[in-house]
Amino acid sequence: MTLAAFVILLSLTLLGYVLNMRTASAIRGGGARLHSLAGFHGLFSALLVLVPVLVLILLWLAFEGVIIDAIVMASLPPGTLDGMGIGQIQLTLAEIKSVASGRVFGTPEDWKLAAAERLVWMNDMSGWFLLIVVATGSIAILLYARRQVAADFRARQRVERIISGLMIFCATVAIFTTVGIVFALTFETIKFFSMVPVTDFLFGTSWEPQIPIREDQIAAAGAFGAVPVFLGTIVIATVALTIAVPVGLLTAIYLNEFAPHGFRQVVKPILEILAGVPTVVYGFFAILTVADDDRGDGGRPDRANDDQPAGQRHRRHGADRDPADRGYVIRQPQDVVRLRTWHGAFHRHALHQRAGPADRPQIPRNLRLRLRRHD
Amino acid sequence: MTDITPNGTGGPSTNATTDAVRASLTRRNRKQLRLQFFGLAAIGFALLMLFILVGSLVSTGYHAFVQTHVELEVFVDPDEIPAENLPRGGFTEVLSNSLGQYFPDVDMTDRADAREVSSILSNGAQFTLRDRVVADPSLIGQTITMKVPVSDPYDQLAKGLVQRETLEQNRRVNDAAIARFDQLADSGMISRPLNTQLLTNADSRFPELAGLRGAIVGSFWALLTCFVISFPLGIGAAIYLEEFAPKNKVSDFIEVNINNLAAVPSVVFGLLALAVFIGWFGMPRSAPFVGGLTLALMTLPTIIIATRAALKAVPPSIREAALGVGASKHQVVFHHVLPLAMPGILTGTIIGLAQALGETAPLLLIGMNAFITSAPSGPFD
Repeated sequence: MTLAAFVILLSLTLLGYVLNMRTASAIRGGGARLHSLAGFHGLFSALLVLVPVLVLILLWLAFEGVIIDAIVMASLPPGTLDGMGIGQIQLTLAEIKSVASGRVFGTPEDWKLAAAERLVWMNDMSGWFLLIVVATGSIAILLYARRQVAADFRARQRVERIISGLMIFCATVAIFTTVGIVFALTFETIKFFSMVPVTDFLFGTSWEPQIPIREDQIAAAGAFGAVPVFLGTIVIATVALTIAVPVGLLTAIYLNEFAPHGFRQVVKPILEILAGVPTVVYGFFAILTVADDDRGDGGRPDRANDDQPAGQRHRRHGADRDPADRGYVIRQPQDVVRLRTWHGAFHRHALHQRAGPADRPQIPRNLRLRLRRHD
Repeated sequence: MTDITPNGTGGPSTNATTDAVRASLTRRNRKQLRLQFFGLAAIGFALLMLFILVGSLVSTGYHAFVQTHVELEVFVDPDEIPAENLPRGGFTEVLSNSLGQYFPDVDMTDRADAREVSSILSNGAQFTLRDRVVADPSLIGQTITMKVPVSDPYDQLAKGLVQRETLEQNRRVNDAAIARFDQLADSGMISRPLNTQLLTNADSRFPELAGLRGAIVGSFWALLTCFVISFPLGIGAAIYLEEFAPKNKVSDFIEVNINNLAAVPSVVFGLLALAVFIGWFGMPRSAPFVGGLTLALMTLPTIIIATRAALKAVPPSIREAALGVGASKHQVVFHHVLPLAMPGILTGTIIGLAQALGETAPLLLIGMNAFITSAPSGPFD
């Protein structure tokens, strides 16, 4: 049903474009002087049909499930949901949905069958309703756009305004994302700190987050001190940077300044493979290979697998950061080096002169960026 | 800047300079050589790390490309397989009996022994036989030849990953099992063909039947969704910010937001997806579509920044010429600047998508590490 709605929308968009363009061309052929090109008239109609109706379809699809679920749950016979916790209510809803899709286990109660039937009916209705709304809405907008075609209709300006509006919307998606992130994090943080005092979190020295979620679960009491987490992160970052920064900088300087052309052409792509490896591969590698080597055995399955020592991860993180640092140093303007060398200073001397003011702010900034990408 | 001539005929001050420079020559030479040496050492270290990484991956993983198969004669017993209810026939018993023919010294009526013998075959063998018989019911009562994978312990034995020298209690296959397997190998029934099931099977509880198809198809759908969403959004936002936005506080605010998002750890996007997409909108938990949506949010800042750089690199003369010819601002951007900037934009998109393909942290949080035994059939599956 939704596929049909999309197909109708698409075809009406094309129809609007062709219709308006033909009309505008006909006006031009009749001798009048058009304000905008015929294509813009067509585009005006197409965009006017496409954008609002597409937004409508997307919103419909996004909220249809939630609304229908709410209606079905509200229409259950009164008293069936008394005394049920939130988990049980959701379980009931899931059961009704699975019955509706044909997967019936055992014999569900009558009211569940009735609710499932209602769910199926509502989904069908919603699909048809969407189709009708899309069709009528698109045709209405099509006719409106068709009526606008005239010799002095400023189609180009209208189209450009629509496109500008779309681009502004794209730009604000970033704001929505940030707002969403802040909201999600704040919400969860408030819930967390209502269960664990802030001082416990900031100054506690034991991190064991296993607690029972339901009443009948058996689990540890839980301790939420974050000091070990902070310290672990700092240790990992320090060791990683101690390895990565000198190696990366020296590699970059050598490749940039001293390496012969052929050497650079071969080595640079190979080193860039290091930057392109997905970070999860480093993790698996550290666990499977480096940790086993350090433990000295070949990975006997009965050995207890305690917390992975931070050492293996450091080596991996170090290797990962190499190409990134190198890349930023390489991007320095080459002409500055040429200028200073030409003036008689030595290669290395020129390097130190240049690597001073030009990229000193760049390297720490880049390091900070890399540090932040440290999951 | 005066030329520094070797014999210093410029006068007393130039003489002193020349002498000072020449005196420090050896020291500066040595410093440069040291720097070169350290640079080479650093490159060597990085290359060593890379080779260790790739080498260890390849050396432990290349076994997976070959699989051990056993070819055996199977008598499709009409007593075990009723013609009326074909899919529910006793295919396991058929296979077990047929395999037992090769080991006459094993008493197949003893349950434990029979199970030991039939454990040579993979668990999927019964389904292969079932599919063949269902497709061609005339096979009932005949003897057919089947080539099926062996189960995991024997597969590892054949590949040499289970050492025969280790003590019996530490090994996965005991001596009797090894003897039986060797007997099969000696009669030429064991073969080691290329493992095509690696690409056609999805996840499985049995290692010999597991394949990558679920991961490949899921990644494809997720990346497709990510591209379809982030490419237009990113380019639209970048064009607006670069060409059309007035220099006021609102556009500054948007810019700061985008640069911020580029530096946010990807785990946070997973949290966002969990809270908003799965919590609020109620989207299905393990669908590639939701994963693609999360990845799109993550790739968006990368694409925006790369597009802006590409747009900035188009020479202003192009814009001025287009305006001079009479194009409107939109026409300048979409007809002249954008096509020229396309190579840079596509490079940025490829980099962003490659990063998205490798990111697992946000997908872990929305539950996409589920163990699914069949590949997704669409982005919403």
